Amino acid sequence: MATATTAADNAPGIPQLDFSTFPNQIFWLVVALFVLFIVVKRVAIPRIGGILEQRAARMKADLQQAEELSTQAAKLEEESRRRMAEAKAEAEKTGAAAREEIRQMTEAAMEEASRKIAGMASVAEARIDEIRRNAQEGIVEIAQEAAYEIVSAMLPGKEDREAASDAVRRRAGSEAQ
Amino acid sequence: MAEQSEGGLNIHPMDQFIIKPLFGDGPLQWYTPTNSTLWMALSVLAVVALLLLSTLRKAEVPSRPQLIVELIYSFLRNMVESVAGRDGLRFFPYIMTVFMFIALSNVLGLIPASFTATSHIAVTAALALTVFVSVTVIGFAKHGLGFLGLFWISSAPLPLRPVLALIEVMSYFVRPVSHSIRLAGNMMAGHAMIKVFAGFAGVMGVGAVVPIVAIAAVYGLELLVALIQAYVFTILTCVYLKDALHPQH
Repeated sequence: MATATTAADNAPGIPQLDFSTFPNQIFWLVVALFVLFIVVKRVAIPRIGGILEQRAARMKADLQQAEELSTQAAKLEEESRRRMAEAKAEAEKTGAAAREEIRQMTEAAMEEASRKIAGMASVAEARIDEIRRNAQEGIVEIAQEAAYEIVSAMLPGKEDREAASDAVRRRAGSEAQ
Repeated sequence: MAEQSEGGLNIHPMDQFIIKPLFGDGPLQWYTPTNSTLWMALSVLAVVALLLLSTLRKAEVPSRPQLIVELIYSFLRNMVESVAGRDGLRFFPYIMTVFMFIALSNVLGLIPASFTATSHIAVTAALALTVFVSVTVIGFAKHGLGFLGLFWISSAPLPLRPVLALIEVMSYFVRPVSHSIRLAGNMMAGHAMIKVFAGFAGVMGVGAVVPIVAIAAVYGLELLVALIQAYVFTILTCVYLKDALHPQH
């Protein structure tokens, strides 16, 4: 032990049991701990505690906000669903009204059309009647003429225009019945 | 060190614990700054740097150092609260101070050629006695003579109680001894062992690989021990504090 110190001289075995160094160590320990304690208590703990608290508060606020937003979203969804239902009902009502109107218009148009058709039919019928009557009269006349001609051809000199006409008219009259 | 110059297996594993004045060779007064003083101061500085520099930004999303500091803080605070109870939180600043000091002192002591202040029984005894005296004073101040109920185990059968009381009192007074020697002994033993291995390495030539590997392994173990012993010292402090605050078992 070339570099023997005072401490080593006093305690050749274990420096830890060299009691002459105890006051020195304890004094400096007290100083060190005192300084450290002040820093830890006054600065470090408030600061770290503050950081943790701030973070916890922030998280709480964020969670709260998230919850608020979620309830708001739910409310909005509810609202939109309600509006959707309303709009659907409205649309149904409008559709029904439109269908009703269309039905009425169609009915009116049909009525109008059938009335017109009925009018046209009666006119046509009248005309057909007239044509038929004309045609009948023409046939009767032709028949009278034919009857007269036939009689005059078969019995010359015995022909009688009046009698032939009467006979044909009687015959046509009974046929028509 | 000395063993190299003299040759042979001349290891002085305890020389690293010698306390020397920092300046000159004069006699050691109580105020003389020594190597112990220097490393205590470095420990304090390291703690201050760790605690304050990492939290300068007070970030909501912490950086890694800040996260470490926050974890230490929460861990210690939860420990004090769960062991000593809510009223133990009053002593949280001191407990955190002691933990940080011991932990950093232990860890810094693992730097080669450094000095471990907490390997000295004077330091650990002072720390343990502080706890012992404070706990006793707090116990009597809070509960008066009721604090003595700590030694009177009311759940034991009556005839056994005086015997148990004697044992309890003895164990109570042994607490500061075990409290301090556990820490100093762990630190001293680990460092001395590393030093012995290093001494072997110095004389073994190529075979020095074996002790060097052993040193590396022991060094890792010692890192663990450094933190665990700081934790043990601190949690025992909390347990003793719990006895003072709530002497009823």
